[in-house]
Amino acid sequence: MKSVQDLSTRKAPIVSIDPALDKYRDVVLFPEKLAKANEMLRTSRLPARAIRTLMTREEIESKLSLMSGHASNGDNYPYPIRLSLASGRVLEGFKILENAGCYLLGRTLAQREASVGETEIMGTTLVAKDKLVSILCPELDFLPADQLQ
Amino acid sequence: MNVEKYALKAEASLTVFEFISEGPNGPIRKLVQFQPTNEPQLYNLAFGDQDVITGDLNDLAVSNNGDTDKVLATVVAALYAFCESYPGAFVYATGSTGARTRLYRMGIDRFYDQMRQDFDLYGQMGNDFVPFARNVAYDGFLAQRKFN
Repeated sequence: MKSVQDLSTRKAPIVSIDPALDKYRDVVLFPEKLAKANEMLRTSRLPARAIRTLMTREEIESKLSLMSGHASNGDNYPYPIRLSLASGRVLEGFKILENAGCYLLGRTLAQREASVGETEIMGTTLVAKDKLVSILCPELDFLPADQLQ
Repeated sequence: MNVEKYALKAEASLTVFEFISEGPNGPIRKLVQFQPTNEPQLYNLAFGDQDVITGDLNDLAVSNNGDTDKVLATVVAALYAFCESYPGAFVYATGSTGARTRLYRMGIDRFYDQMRQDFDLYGQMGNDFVPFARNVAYDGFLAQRKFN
């Protein structure tokens, strides 16, 4: 046992980091459970996912009002928005959520990864930060990246 | 959490946790793994026993070690710890059997009042996820840490 780390200011427990467990890190310990989960999730419709954004409320409102003309604070309306990312991924069907004073973008069509623009999923190294290159609203023309900065 | 729980150990990335159940049947090594699924940022919570001698893993074992609440509380604690490091992640859980899924549901019921303060909780009904409600049968469960 190498160190003890207090993981939370709230309710997460104190967890001892044990290097002896490192051998399990990239091993699927219960493969049949993972297979079942993938099968159960294959056709499922996931709920909207909340993502913390580094953009301010004003920035997001400004970008969205350019497209739809009627975006408003935390209205949970499923805007027909398509976000194109530098990696080539395309995300569709976002809602605007408001939580703890910051804006969140939540997926309504949750089949793809969400890491949007100047946004990153906090604290995780699993998802590379992805630059937003365009926002496309079906009723409007394509908005090039330089108009979004 | 006010319910007693076991001490947790983890590897450095906090995706695999270990604890030791103690009871009338002796010490039983438990492993919890948060497994990446085919869905990005969605992890499956897998949980089972490891035979100390053979090293074999068994997610169908019934330990009967008289510590169900303490074990469930420890698994919930692992969920908190995992989500501290992966706050954008969804965590999915379903049992290996219908009985095991019901056990998971009872576990969430048990800790629901606390968990709902910190997690968005959903139950799976067919292809849909609906907000979790107590005493409802589900096919699986989904949780995402709330942003505070």
